[in-house]
Amino acid sequence: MILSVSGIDFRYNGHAVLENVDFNLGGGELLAILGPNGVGKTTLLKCINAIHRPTTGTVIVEDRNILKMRSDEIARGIGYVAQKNESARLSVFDAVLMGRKPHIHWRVGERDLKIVDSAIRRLDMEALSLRYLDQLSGGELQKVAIARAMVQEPRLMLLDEPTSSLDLKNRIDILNMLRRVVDEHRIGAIMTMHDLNTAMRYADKVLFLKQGTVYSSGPVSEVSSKVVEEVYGVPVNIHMIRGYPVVVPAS
Amino acid sequence: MRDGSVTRGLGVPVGRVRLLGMLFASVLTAVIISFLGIIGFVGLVVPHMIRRVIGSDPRFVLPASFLGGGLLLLVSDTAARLILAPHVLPVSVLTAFMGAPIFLYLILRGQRR
Repeated sequence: MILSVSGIDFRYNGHAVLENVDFNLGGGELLAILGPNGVGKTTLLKCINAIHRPTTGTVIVEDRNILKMRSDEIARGIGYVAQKNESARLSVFDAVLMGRKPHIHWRVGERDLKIVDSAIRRLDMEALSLRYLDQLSGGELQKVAIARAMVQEPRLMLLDEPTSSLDLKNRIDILNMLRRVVDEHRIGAIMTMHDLNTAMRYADKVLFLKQGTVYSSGPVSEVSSKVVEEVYGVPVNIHMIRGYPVVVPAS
Repeated sequence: MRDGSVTRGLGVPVGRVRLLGMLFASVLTAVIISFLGIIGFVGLVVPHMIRRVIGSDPRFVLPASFLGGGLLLLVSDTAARLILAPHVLPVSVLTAFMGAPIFLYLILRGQRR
């Protein structure tokens, strides 16, 4: 078991954003968190790596309580990719190298450079390596952020809408690569998403949030049109196309 | 990055670093001012001049600003002692002479955007 979240509540300015959220994630599993806008998906991700501190509840990653760890210890175990990425006057290589920050004590070593180099190659960004972040497109920035989280060598990756600014090819490339990293290293990964079809195609498990609580969670094969209807409030049908479930709005 | 969530995710205790940075800067400024009085505009002018010359990579701007600031004050102080010798002019008068036009220029440029 890589991650175990139990009984998380999070209040913001007195009103409850998350209530009693429970779920587990094993090694080699990719979980998609789904739900309407503003339901608390991002907040949940931030509670898992203690950017937000839950009001009550515990988050256990590899048998250690996240809420009692120092922030650099957390960063060695959990990689986080935010929804928005800001650019700066910083080269792509340096930006990815920042992901090694939690592992570096005084100076950058041979191994750090190698890891960064292979992550950049893995994402097909060698040509951009020396470009500045403020010259990149939104999709390229997103890939930099994902590469930065990968070089942290985390046991758990949290990705907040990782594919929302990517085109079709990049979306497929990134998710295939994420899938490979999860399978090869037996790490856990959680991504929030709006695109149900992409989520169900790449994830092992899905978790639906509704009004800050877990409405349903389980393997992709158990997702029913009833659940989707009740979470999003629109009638849908689920069809199997070439072995993959596809959600089609009914009206 | 503005809310620091990416930085937090990389293991930097953002709140503590900010607090310590502000404390350190306030104490440092307070000590210097209590000994030497107010010398304005140096912190404003020097980094802008440095950026013009060597670009905006913070790795170079920061140390270059230390050196540039020291150099600028040294030159201003020497000038302040020489202009009306044997009387010593306050250094702040000279730095204000340089700083005020640049300050105005920055404000005007900011408005145009």
